Amino acid sequence: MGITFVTVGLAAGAALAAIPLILHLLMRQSPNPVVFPALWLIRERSQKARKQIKIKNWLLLIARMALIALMALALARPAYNSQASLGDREVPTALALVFDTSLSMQYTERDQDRLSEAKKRAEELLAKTHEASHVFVIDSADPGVPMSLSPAAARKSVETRTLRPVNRKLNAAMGQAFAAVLGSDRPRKEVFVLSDLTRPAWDPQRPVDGLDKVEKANVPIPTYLLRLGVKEPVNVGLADAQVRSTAGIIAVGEPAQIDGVVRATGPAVERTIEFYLDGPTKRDQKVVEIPANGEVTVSFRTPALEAGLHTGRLHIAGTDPMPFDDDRHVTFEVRKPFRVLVLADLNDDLDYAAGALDPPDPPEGLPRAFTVDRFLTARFPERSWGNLRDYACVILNNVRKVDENAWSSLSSYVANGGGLIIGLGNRVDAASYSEPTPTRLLPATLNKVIRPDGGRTSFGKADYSHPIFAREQSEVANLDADLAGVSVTLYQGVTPNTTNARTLLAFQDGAPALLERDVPGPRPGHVLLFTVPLSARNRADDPAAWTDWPLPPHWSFLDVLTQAVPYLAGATSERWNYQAGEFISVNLDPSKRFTSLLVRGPGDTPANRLGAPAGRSSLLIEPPQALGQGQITATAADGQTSNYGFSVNADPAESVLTSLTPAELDELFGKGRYAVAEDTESLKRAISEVRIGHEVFPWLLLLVLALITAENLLANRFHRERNTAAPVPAGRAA
Amino acid sequence: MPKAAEQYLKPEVIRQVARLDLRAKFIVEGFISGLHASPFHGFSVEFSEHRKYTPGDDIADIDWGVYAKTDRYYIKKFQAETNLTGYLAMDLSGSMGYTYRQELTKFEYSISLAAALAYLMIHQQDPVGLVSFDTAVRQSLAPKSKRSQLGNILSLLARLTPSGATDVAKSLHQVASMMRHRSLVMVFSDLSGDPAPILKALHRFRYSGHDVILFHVLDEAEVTFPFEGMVEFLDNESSDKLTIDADGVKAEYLEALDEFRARYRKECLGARIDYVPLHTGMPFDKALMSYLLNRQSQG
Repeated sequence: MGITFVTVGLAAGAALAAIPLILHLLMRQSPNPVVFPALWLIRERSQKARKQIKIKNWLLLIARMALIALMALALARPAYNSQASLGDREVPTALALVFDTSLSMQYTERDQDRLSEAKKRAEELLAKTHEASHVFVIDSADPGVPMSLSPAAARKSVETRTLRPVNRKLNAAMGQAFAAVLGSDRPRKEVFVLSDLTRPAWDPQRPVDGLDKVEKANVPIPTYLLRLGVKEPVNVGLADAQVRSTAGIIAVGEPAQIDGVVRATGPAVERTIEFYLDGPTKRDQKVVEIPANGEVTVSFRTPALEAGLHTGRLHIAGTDPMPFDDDRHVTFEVRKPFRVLVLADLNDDLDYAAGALDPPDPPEGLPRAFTVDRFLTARFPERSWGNLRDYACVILNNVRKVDENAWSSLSSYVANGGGLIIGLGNRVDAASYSEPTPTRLLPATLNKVIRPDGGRTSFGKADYSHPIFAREQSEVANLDADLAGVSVTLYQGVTPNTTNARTLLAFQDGAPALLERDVPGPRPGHVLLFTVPLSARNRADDPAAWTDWPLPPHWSFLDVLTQAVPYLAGATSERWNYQAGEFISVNLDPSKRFTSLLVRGPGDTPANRLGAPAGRSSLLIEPPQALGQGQITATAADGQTSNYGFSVNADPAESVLTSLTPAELDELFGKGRYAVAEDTESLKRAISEVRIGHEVFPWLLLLVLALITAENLLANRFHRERNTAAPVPAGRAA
Repeated sequence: MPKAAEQYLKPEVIRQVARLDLRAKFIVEGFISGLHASPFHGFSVEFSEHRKYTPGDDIADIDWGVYAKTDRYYIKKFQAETNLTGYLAMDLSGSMGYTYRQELTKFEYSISLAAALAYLMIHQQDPVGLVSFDTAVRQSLAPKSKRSQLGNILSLLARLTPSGATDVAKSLHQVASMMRHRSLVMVFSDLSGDPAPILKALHRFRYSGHDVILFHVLDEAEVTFPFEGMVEFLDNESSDKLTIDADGVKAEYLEALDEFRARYRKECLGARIDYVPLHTGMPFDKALMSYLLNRQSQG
């Protein structure tokens, strides 16, 4: 913090303070000679008087000099906080303009969106910027190192800024801005942030990047935040749209249900939601009433659909200030249900797994995702072991013994992309599972059956990084709770293979409950080994009653199985719906050799022709900079084409127009290290306060006034002293 | 409107009268004329009929009107029975020749006043003499009450010229030793110098039974100190110089003067000496009134 002058030239006027001194020294009065007989009377008193007079005169002289100096200083408009040593407002400046290009800046008021408003403000700033300034134009979307531009070039750069669906947090952009202006040799350094200051654009939990570097450099960089948001925003947007499915699968020939979440910012409102399926044709529409600052879910059902990828779009009819969240896209696949083979020695061991995947009376609206073939092992045709490839998954539950041929078939099946689930129960002959062939397939060797300490145990923590257990954070606790409530009285003791086994779920005592082994082959497959049966018994004294997991109220049995089958079928890695900013990953048909790929969309993204990914069956596409639906046409060497697709939606947080609180701004920028301006006037004020500093002009004038008063009082006092002692009344009688 | 005669009580008017005898006449006539119109009316027509109250006098004879004005008791209808011998002691020091406004010098003021007093006293058949001094007594004229004495006094006064240094105390001691009979000594001086020896000399007069009126005559500028800015003050007796800011020293000077006069006033009051501070801008009647009051007290 220092003192500078707005009109530095006038500060030189302080030198005029020397005038009273010069006058005092050069223009001393030449004394008038006066004959005065009572000189002896003067001499008697003059010693003390002369000293006093000298002091008083010097006091007056100093007061008058100070008065002139202060008036000159006041006219020079001294100010605190100025960062540049020059006193002129027109100083070459290292200026960073940080644009918030997130979608919330689309909010339109008086026919102007926030970004246009930001550009306008930036234009105004650049118009007042010295031509020798270095300008850095940064936005929240572009992570590239900003270039130093002249103000003229910066104007053009500002013009090219557009709303972007993919943005970094502005914390990172601030780091770029600080680094850029610190690297400039211009004497004044400033950063202007043009943002609506809505919370989702920032990470208010941590300070913006680069503050430490600024502090280390010990260079003041005033930061001005131009709040471009509106005070009371009103908006209706689609926060989410999802296809209801079992394990993400819509079965062919069945209708699909698409749920949309409509959220209102501001007062309660009634809006029409339109549903489009596979193109621009409107399929349905519904009127919904959204409570003030609340949300409602709206559902649409499709007719029975053919196999293949389908697209849906929900749209809020009418206009509102933020169009980007009036649409929500979904892409979903309609396919044949997964075929699952369930084998067990007893019917009791068939029912639970088969019923979980293919319930006899499925809930209405929930498409059928699995077709289960259930066989008792004794009735499973021998020849069928060699014909397993049509199944997405084979489940062996509490099967006493599998012969060598069957193990060989299963090994071959898994090595070609098949999935095998084994549930171990009271019927299992451990020796049969320890033969060389099953040993090459299973993730563990079987030991004896174990009764846990205390007679019972339950499941512990699952491996939530695994696709079977991966889910939203909010659901993890629910799953944990359900697994922890399961009672297990007996389980199969196993020794996991040290090299190729992965424990996905353990019991409370740490023993493995679920293990996985990846089996290499032409199309690698997986084996899941449960150390408890995938079945239960109604009687607790039944030797087969090892666990109550499949029984109500536990739901995690069904959940785990319905996730495990698509995983084993390689379907869980397929994803069609993305949030802006995410890489698009498309699983291509590994059985075809594609030579070229044409990517169209989403939105107005230009078509892009790509080469086939070498050695991989999946295509990775950079996060698209547009919202909507994209299509990929893959052409094989034989000229045949396959179509793939995906949808990209905005981050629902972009519709949240909650402004950062002062406390959050303090956390981001540091208390007192930034200035917030709401409009042009307040920006001017903020700039003049920080750039020119807090002017001390009024205070200085006050001081001048006080000094004038003091000088007058002083002078008058001296004068009065002389007067009060004035002429002795003539003729006072003796 | 004051009568023409009263104009002569003003120094600025009397200075236009060149002849000292006329000055004396005009001052006294102006004074007498002023008394007619004043509460001191009695003085003008029958001032010889007043004397100072002494214990044993009839209280009914006290002139209360005079008391109200003078704060002293006077007995009316009393004929003076004795004559009072008066001495006019004139200070001839160089400082007495000083005037700032080029009007009457302190000395001219003093001799005008002395002449008027001589005029008054001769007309009352009081013998009056004259002594002038600087560092010692220079001229003297023995007191007489003849009409011709006035001419002699005025003639001597007109010839006196103030110059050089002075020693008031020593001179007054000399004067005191010269006087044989109880007299009224009227000293005209600016009293420059140390007050202690002067006061001692004045006390000697009192010890010898003389009455004293001390006319402390200063120039108007010495009382009002009208100087401004840087002034080089010169002492016309000692040739001393002092350059000083007149504005700055004024208050202290006036304070010193006040203290100086106060000391004389206090000491004189204690010794029953009439101390009359005057300056050259003041009308003469004050001094004359002091004389008359003193004269009456002697009656």
